[in-house]
Amino acid sequence: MTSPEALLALRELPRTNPTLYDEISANRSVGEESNEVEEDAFSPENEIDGSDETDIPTEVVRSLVVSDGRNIGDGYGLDNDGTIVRVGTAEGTSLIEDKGTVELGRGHRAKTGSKRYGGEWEGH
Amino acid sequence: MFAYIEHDAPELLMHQFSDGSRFRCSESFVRKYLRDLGWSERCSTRAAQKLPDNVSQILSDAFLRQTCIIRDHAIPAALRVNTDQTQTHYQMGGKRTWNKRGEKQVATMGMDEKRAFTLVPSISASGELLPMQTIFFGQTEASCPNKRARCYAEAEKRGFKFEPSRSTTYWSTQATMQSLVNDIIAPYFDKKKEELGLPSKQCSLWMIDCWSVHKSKEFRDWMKKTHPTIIISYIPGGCTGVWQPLDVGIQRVLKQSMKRSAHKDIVNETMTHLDSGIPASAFKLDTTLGTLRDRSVGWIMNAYDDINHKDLVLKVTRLPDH
Repeated sequence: MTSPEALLALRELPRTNPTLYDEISANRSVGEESNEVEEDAFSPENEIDGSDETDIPTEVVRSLVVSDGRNIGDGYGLDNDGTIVRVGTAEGTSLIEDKGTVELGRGHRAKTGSKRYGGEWEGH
Repeated sequence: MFAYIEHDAPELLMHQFSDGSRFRCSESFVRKYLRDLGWSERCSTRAAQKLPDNVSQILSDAFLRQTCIIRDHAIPAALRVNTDQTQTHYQMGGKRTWNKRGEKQVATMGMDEKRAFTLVPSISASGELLPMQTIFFGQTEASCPNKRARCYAEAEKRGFKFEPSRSTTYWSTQATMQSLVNDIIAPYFDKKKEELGLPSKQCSLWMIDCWSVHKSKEFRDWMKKTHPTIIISYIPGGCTGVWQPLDVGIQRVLKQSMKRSAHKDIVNETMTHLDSGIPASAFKLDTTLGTLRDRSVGWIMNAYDDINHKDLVLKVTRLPDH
């Protein structure tokens, strides 16, 4: 906002848009502007309820936002509506029948890590 | 569902498929699974904000207004702050309901006034995230999270504020807006002025949207009288989705973090129960208001850490392409 281009546009405002210049000049010390539109308390964007799915790590979402949608990370893609989704084959429903090859531990029981939510769940 | 799988069949989460992916019981998997079982999903969503026809002109004018204030008052980036309020349901996903296919009646969960709270984040144009204010439905301090709640002491130490609405909703009010300025916004500006070696009479710029309380004469008069060095700049009406820094990107990360924290608590609660050996059929999630309200402190602190990245905050405070 303090770029040379912005300041030039401001200097030229009396010539390019005298009405806006007069309005800004009259209100410059208070910063308020005339606006008849009244917003709702919460805009649709500000209702925490939807968008990306719970299984998508927060850092994947942050990376996408910071990179302007260019960097989404391996194993993730964008749905038609821009929602991040997992693209690997693991989420196929056939998984219920096909548990794949499981490394067996003592007593031929499946070897498991910590049962606590954490280890296998991507970091917050 | 994730907790049951992790408890009863953790090997499903360990197996790596040929493409390198691992099963994470994603929401898309759960949806497909439920549909296959004959359930159907209904989702009530609000339409996204419709931009005014002359949005380019409106944003261009708003840009020049702000540039003029910044130039005339020599306001540095650290003294330019945007605040917004965000609605948060304790039970996220309550707008999605599942019913046996063909059923007419659709039950909604957690969508009443008591089952949500307002989160009020603020960011500066220099990339700082300020402590957050949180408004809870109720008349007294007892409506706020318990001081013994997880992360509460840390939140207080970091300057977070938990306040009852003392109204019939969980929304911000004149009183909570005033305490937001007194307890978070003005102290931040004062601290920054000191750090930057600027005089106390140095002006700051505060961007808020055109919500009725923000625009009310009562609030504007109070600001002029109590905090004369804070200049309010209203986000052009109907343009918050493209002009308000907090709406452009940060909300998405904030939402995701809160949802994951809430989900993590549910999984932990379920796992604790399953580990206790009591039959799963006897288990019911604790969805009482007090429990969820206390848990929300941890969600908020996690969300703060997840969005408190300078590259993210600076990214969203950059101007939109219009």
